[in-house]
Amino acid sequence: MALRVSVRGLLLGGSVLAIIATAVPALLPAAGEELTPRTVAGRELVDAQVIATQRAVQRGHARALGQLSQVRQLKLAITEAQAAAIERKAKDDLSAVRREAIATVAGLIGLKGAQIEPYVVSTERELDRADLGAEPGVLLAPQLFNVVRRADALLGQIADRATRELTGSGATPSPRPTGP
Amino acid sequence: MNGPGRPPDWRTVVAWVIVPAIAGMLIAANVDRSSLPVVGSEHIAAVILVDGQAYFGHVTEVPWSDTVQVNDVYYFQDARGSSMNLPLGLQRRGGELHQPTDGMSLRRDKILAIEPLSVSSAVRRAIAVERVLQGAR
Repeated sequence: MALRVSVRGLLLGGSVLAIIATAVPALLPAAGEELTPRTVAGRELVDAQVIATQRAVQRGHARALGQLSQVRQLKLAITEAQAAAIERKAKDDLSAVRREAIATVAGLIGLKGAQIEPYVVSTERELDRADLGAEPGVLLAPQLFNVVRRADALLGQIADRATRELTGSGATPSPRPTGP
Repeated sequence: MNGPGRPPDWRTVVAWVIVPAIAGMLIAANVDRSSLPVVGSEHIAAVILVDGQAYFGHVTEVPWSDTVQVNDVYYFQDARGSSMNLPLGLQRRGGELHQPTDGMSLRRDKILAIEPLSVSSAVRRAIAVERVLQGAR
């Protein structure tokens, strides 16, 4: 069996090889990424992360309430009625932040419209009863992590603002007219 | 070619049996079946840079290039003081101020190690949940 290859055939084959050798490295990452299978979590894992998120939000809520409670035990320069009003307002704001965080989680897991309110109410009830002892931390999915991070920031701000109002430490002086 | 009833000559056997068999053995010995596209399982690796920063994603070694390509990128963010009971949180690359599109190239000389993540890795689990959440909305 004699193998005959023409010069033209050799040139054509060489050209094809050259194109492949230059194009493949450039296209490899994109093609590989398109073809790479993606692992998605099962229901059980998603539920576990959602619960961990809600409990993290609840820990932040409890921490803010604890801060308020500590300040309320101090002898304050304002009247009891004023202190109670500030505390009530802060607690309402803290609850609103928690509620908003739970509603955001509900949206993330695909609940819509009329499904969200009952979910939020039942979750709030569960969280109020939950024992949040020392729990190991869970590395959350980025969107859930952002819910906790945002709630933490808002809860901290509300507790700090109420602390300043209760203690008068952050009171700004009344504006005075300037000039002669 | 050989006619019917005639045994194939040795060159035909070499060309059509021995050479393909050797090529097949070489490919089988050098290709990780689990990393094949479509049929393989997903491979997520941690790319640890010399400055301590780590990125997680699909790593592609580009031939003849001084960079390594990482796609579907995630990284750790400081979460000390948060109520998560963990000092770190996971973020997906793309939400930064400059809004990078998917994929980043890392210079090889800045990479300390590339480590594949196990299936039970907390990072992989968080990424798997993130994909569900992205699809749920």
